[in-house]
Parts: sequence; structure tokens; C-alpha cells
Amino acid sequence: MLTTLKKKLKTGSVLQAVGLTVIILLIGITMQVMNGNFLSAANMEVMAMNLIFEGIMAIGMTFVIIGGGIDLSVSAVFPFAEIIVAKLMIEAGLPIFPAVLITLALCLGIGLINATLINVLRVHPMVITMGMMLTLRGINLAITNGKSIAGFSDDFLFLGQGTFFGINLPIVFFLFAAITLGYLLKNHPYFRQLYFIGGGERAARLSGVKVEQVKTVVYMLSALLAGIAGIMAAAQYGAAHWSHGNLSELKAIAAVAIGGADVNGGSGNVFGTVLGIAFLAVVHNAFVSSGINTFWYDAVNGLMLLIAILFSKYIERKNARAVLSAKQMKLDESGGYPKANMAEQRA
Amino acid sequence: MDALQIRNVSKSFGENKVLSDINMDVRKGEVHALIGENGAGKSTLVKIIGGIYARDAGEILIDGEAVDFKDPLQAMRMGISIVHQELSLVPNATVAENIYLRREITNKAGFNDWNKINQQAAEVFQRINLDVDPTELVGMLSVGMQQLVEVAKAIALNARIVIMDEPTSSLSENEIPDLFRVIRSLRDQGISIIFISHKLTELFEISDRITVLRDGEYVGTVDTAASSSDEIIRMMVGRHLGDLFPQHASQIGDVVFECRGLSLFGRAKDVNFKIRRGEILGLSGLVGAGRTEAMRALVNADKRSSGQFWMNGEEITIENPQDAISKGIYYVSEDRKSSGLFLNSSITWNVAMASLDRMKKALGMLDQSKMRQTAEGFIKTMDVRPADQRVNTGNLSGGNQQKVLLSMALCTEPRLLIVDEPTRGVDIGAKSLIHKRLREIAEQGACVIVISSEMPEIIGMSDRILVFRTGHVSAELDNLRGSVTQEEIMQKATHN
Repeated sequence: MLTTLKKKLKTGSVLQAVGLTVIILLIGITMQVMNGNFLSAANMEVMAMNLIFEGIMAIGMTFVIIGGGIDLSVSAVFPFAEIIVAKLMIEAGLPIFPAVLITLALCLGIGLINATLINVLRVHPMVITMGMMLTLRGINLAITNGKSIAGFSDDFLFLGQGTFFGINLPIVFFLFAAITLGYLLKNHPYFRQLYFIGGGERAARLSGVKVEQVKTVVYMLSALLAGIAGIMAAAQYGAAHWSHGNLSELKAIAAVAIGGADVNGGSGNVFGTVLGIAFLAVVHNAFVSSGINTFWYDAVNGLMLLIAILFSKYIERKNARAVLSAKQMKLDESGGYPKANMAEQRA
Repeated sequence: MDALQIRNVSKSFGENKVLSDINMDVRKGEVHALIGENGAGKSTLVKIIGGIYARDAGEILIDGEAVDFKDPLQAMRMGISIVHQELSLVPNATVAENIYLRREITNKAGFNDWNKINQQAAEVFQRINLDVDPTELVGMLSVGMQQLVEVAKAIALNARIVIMDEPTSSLSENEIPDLFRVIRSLRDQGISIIFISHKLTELFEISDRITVLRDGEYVGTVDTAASSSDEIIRMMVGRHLGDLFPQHASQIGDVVFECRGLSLFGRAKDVNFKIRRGEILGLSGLVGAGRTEAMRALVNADKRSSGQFWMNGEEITIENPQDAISKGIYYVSEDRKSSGLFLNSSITWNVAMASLDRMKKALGMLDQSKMRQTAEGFIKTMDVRPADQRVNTGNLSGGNQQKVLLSMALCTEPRLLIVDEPTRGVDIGAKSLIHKRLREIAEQGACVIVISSEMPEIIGMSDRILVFRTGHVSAELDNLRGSVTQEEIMQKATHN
């Protein structure tokens, strides 16, 4: 009895991943049949590149969300990194390596400020990181006067446009980050602490988890990944502009949520997030190639998030129902206190 | 050499002195009970020993060596483990991972060695003779089982001193022997156990010595074998409590409420009962047997699959808890902190919260002076301390929180009051007051349903007892003269 119960549960999270994969494939096949070019190398590349920077941010977001937090500031860190790296190279004339290093160090600093404010003020991370996002967006605007910066060297542009064994560098980085960080999150005791913090911060603290320290590391990781995405984006677009990455934080969060993580913390994994971002990319691609008015993009994105959350809630509920059904069967098997007897006894 | 010596430890929070000059010795391989009313300072003392709070003054010696912990992890490494009153397990992680949190077994590369972690967790369970699958998610276990996993977690890394803060409060009667068996086997392995509980019978069953605290001060330590519950109660409260439970019902009237065919999918099936004016009906059975589940289904807090209800002979529907309140049925949750009180609001607001409809004046505005008067009244009759209605309920002790929670229910003037674990984690003084009030309410003509895991409470309070077993009502026992025995209930709760 117990083992069947358990098996059903274990297949729960697996079921969600399988379900998501099936849906992605279904959309892909439908598009292939309708338009015939979905599976072409060119389209695959377009599709992969479309949400690649959001994907990189989503990996960091996965860590933050599992730990019970949220990081809205990534969408401002992203253009911030673009602008800083552009200013350092184009205006200050620094070579690539130190320019990138300084930029990433500044991004880490932003993550550190986020985490410190969250830890010290004990205010909800949504408020802190939203404040950071707005502040940073203002800074981005102010230091560029709202203009874009262009004129990168070809060596730098390689970071965003170059390929590695025929695969675009940002995609290579995304896969590398997803695999290494995913493995760390799954198996390294330091990152396992996140599940405990997100699942029950008090409990984690009593068990000796250094909650503040772990949170700090995670917000810094999130800012770092957003910074790397920003640098690669600057190289990809060939220009830095304050408006790049607008609303990317929401797509990153959506990918994490669609991937099956609980937005309240305590569950989720990087593989789910990768599926989540793939799902968003495929839907987006299907949308574009069927030639509908592009003004509808945002509406569809929002709708997709809601549908995905409904889907994950549905599966969650279905699993809970399966457990209950097993118990109900047990209830039906065992005879109860005779009803008639009960009602008459006191009459 | 004593395993743990506490010398003149004091602690204040701001102006509030919670511990002064506490002395206590715990021998190697003994079960040392620590008892005192809520607010006596037990939990604070435990947190100081476990490195969660820093002491203001005094000394702590382990095996004769002075120690000064900066965080819980340091204390853990010195062999001190605490089983906290609130569970400190994470539901989404496996049993084994919970046990080895922060003490993970890693391979050479620094990654978790899951096989070894699971295997060692299995060995820990073997050592205390428990049947738990280490790869099971903690959230899937019963609360009682989780408590035992807590104990396993505490001893997994060669603990020398295990502190258990009310470990039985969430256990059902048939799980307590499991816990005691585990405690005895730890003691026989030379481990010292500090056992905190409000339940005297348990202390006398399990402990070797008992230390009593009162109002943050050390009262004394006695050998359990040479003491009596009267003596301990005297030490705790400084006076005799007399009879612990009020009289049974003096007069039972007509049937007021009837429930037929109440079922909750997968949790409870076909529950039938009637309750009469002036009667207290006790719901007994093991945790998870369907007592709480059935009552939550009755007010439709969890959506029931079937059930019919009659109030004073008229069939009524109960759509949701709010609807139930408007029809005079009030369910008081067993979990006062998460689904009972509004911890960030004052006593005034908490008391009035369920009856705001009746606290209105012109234009539908809230009549705040009426709210204050009402709260003032309840603070007096329920003896809430501090007697200041502006205090947030989050700052009250457990006993006083429970009194406010009950006031919130009584403020709606229910005809059927359902109280779930009305005295869990509550000190003896508050407990006897709550018992007295429940009986008064019944004598005034209301019906009361008491759900409790504590057998003496069920027997002491109820005029009639329904025993639940695996989702069904397995027996109905007449207890108007208090003649039902614990053995009788236990037998109905566990056997066919």
C-alpha cells in the first residue's frame, strides 16, 4: 500500500516534466506540419537565441526562488552590465578582460547590496529588489542620457555572435551554466541548504543553516548571471541601451514557475527551468511564425504564465487526489461503525 | 562528573528578566525532566544551552569544561541536540537529508553521497528501532512520525545531551510509547536527556529526576521516585490546584445538533452523532484517525463529500466556516498560531474578529468602544495576562493566546462550540481555567465538542465520547459519571 502511494508521488514531479516536454513537442510538431520550417537549423537557432538571456537569468532566479526569495532587479542589472562594459571599453578604452571583470564585480556588488538589505531590513525581497530595479534603471538612463552606446571591437562582439563547434556562444554558456549549476544544486551540500531555507527558514536556522550567508551567495549569483547575460547581449546586439532586458525578470520568473518550482520556495530544479524557458521560446516562435499581429506578444506571454501555473497546480492537485484516493480505498475496505446503530442509540 | 552543569545562568530580554540565577545538573545517562508553567523560562534555558540565545551571566559546563556557544552548529558539534517544540524539518526534503542537514556525508569532490546518507539514516532508525524509509519525503509522514524523525536527527551525530521540548505534544497516545522506548534506549547508551513536558504522568513515567522552574527562577530538583505529582504541582504553582477537572454535566437537555453521514474524501467516512443541550462531547482517537478532519469537514473548511445536519430539529446547510458561525457553529482550530489568531493584531481585534458584524454603529462603521468593552470583559473572565487589550497576541504566552482564541469563539455566542486540542502546549493554570470555562459554557446551554489527544482531558471533560479509528467512528461511550477508562478508549481506538 505504502509503496504504491510513494511511487505515485515520485512520478508527480516527473510527470510534470514529461507533460511539459510533450507539450513542447506537440507545439513543435504542429508548427512543423503547418509551416514546414520549424525544425530547420535556422529556425532552431532563432528560437534558441530568442530567450537565451532570459534563460541565463532564469538559472539564477531558480536558486533565488527555491530559497524563498525573488529577484526583480535582474532586468536592470542586465542593461547596467551592457552599459558599464560599453563605457569601460568604448569611452575609457579598456581592453576586454579588465572591462568584463570590473563589470561583473559591480554586478556582484549589486547582488551583495540586495542580499544585505534583505537580511538586515527583513523586508520582503520583492520590495527590496524592486527598489533596486527602479534605482538601477534610473542610473542606466542617467549615465547614458537615454542614448545607446555602440562601436565595440570585433573581439568583443565574438562573445555574443561567435560560435563554438557551430553553436552560438550564449547558448554554449547557457548549457554550461545549466549543467554545472544544476548539478551543484542537486548534489552539493551548500546549495542543498536552499531547499531548507525556502521550505522553512526558522527550521533551517535551528538546524544550523547560515541563512543570511546562503542568501547572500544566491543573490550575488543571480546578479552575476544577469551581468554575464548583459555583457553577452551587448556583444550580440553590438550596442548597449538602457531599455534592453525590459520585463526580462518576469520571463525568468515565469520560466522557473512553469518549470515546476513553487514560487513560495522550497522546491524546483534547474532542469525544470530549462524546460520552462524552452516552452516559452517555442510558444513565442510558434506565435511569430504564424504571423499574428506582434502587438499581442505580451498578452500571450502573460497568458502562457497563467496557463503554466494552472497546469502545475492541476498536476499538484491530481497527485494529492491520487494519494487521497488510495486512502479512501482503505476507508471503503474497512467497515465503519454501524450507521443505524449509531443513529438509534441515542434517539 | 555531571554531563551538563548550569551555574547561575541569567537572561533578560530588554527590561524583562526571564531567567535569574538558574542552577541545574544533568547526570550522564539520566532522563532529567524540566517542568514549569508557560513563561517559567524553560524554553529560554533550553535555547541558551543549545547556543541559540546568548546568556547574560553565569556558566555552562559540559563534562566539567566551560563552554560558550556562538551558534547552534557549535553546540551540535559539542554533542548537544535539541528536539524543538515546533518541528524543524523541511517537508520537501527526504527523511535522510533532513537528518543529515549541515552534517552531510560527502564524497571526495564535496558532493552529497546520497547512498551513504540514506544508508546511515537507516542505521540510525535501526538503532532506535523505528520503521521509516529514509528516502521518503518528510512532508508525507504523519506529524507523530515527524517528531520521531526529529529525535533521530538529534541523535544521528553522536549527541551526548538531547533536549526534548514537549516532544509528546504532537504525538498520539500510541506513539508515545515508541518515543519513550527510544528515550530509554538512548539513556541506556549513556546519553543524557532533558525532557520538557506539561504532562505530569509522562514525567513520572519517564524521568529519573525532575527540576522545577517558576517565573524564571529555580525552585528545586527532586528524585522522581521519591516525589509525587502533588509535590511537583505545588512546586510549580506554589499552591494546591485541587481537583483538576470540573464536574460533569448536571443536566442534559434535548438534542440540539445532529450530524448524519459526514464524509471527507480519503480522510473520514460516514460520521454520525447527536449532541444535546448542556453536553460536552469528546472526540478521541489517534492523531490522523479523522477527528479533526471530520470537524473541519463539518464546517466545510475542507470540502466534504457528504453530510446532513439538523439544528433544533430543522435541517440546515453549512456552506463554509463563516456560514457555520452565522448559524451558531464555531470550530476553534488546533493550531492557534497559523490558523487561529491574528498574531500581529491586538487582543481587542482578535476577540472581535469573528463577530465584526455585531460591532457596527451608524453607517456600518465599526463601534470601537464596544469592541474595547467586549475585549475588556473577556480579558477579565478568561484571566488573560497581561490584562492589556492593546497587546498583540503574538506577544502572549501560549496559554494566554489560547484564552484569546477561545474568547474570539465565545464572542460569536455559539450554540455549538467545537474546540480542537483546547489546551495543547498550555500551562496547568491556564488549562484548568479553560476546562472550567468550557464546562460553564455547556451549563449555560451550549453544546461543546472537545477534540483532544490527551486521554485524561477527554475523560475528565466529556459526558460522552466518540472514538475515531482510521476515519470511522469506532465507538460511542457514555461517560456522564466519568466511568470510562483510558484502556477502554485505547482499545476502541486501535482494535477492531
